[in-house]
Amino acid sequence: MADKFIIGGKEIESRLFIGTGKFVRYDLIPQVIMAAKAHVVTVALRRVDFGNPGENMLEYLPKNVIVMPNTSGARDAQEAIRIARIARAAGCGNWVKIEVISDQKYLLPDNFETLKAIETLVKEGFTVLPYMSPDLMAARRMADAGAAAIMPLGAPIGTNRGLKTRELVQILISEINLPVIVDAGLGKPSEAAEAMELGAAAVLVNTAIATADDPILMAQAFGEAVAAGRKAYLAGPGASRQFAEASSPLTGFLRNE
Amino acid sequence: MRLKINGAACEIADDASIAGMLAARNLPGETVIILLNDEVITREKWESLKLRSEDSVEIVRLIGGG
Repeated sequence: MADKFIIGGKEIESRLFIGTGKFVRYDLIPQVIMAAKAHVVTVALRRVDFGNPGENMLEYLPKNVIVMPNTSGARDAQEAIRIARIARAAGCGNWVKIEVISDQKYLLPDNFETLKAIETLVKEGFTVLPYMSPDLMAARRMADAGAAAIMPLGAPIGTNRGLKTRELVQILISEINLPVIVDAGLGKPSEAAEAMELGAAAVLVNTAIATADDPILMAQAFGEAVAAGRKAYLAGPGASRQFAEASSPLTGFLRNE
Repeated sequence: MRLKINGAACEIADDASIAGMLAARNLPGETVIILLNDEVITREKWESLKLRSEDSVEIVRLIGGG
């Protein structure tokens, strides 16, 4: 039976979502997307800096990817809702990653304001993927409010510290009947594989790829790790034990007694 | 007339248009999203739409983000 990955009624071809921030050059992005075989990418909205307008990054996104704007910059639900509406009115499609942050030190998301934004945006027909701090009650409320997935952080944004929230993410995967997509903090392909082995539906990676010495090679590594982790999860890993258990029978040894 | 562009007070010609604003700043139309008083204004209106004193114009774009 095929291992389908469906969000908001749409079949997603890759369990590695890629963030497009922090790349030293935009022209790396299409190569990274191809190396990772990614299908969903995130983007942000900002005022144009007239002194330094920069290039149009949309030109670098392949036509077949799903572009998911985030609401980065939003400090409360109202700001997130406004950004989502602007992005959609500008032609970005229905998907939105809600990111509501007022903590500037750890960039930890505000679950409470995020929930309020979900309630409004779901009613307006958005496919809502909330970036959140892994709290079971918050995740339950977000699911009840109609979120299409739950995106708990692995570690604070940009820290490359790995799956620090492993235990809580494991609880969400077990208890929430929605795709759980680990987003933020994963620093190495092995950490992405770890999330997938736990049963995460997908991971979102930005900094670890964009700031690698060779982003394209790193993207490929992450793509393979995510695929491997997913296969491991589906294969049903054997139990771990405290004491050894020999691989071959303890009889018939070639030795004199 | 006075209005706000990206949050900053500006003085512009009374017959200025959004299209003119972008041309003055060397911004190709395909790369930006325009908001007038918090409403997205699609491209076909950029030449004709009359701006008023105290209007708030936002010129935004999509950039890389996680």
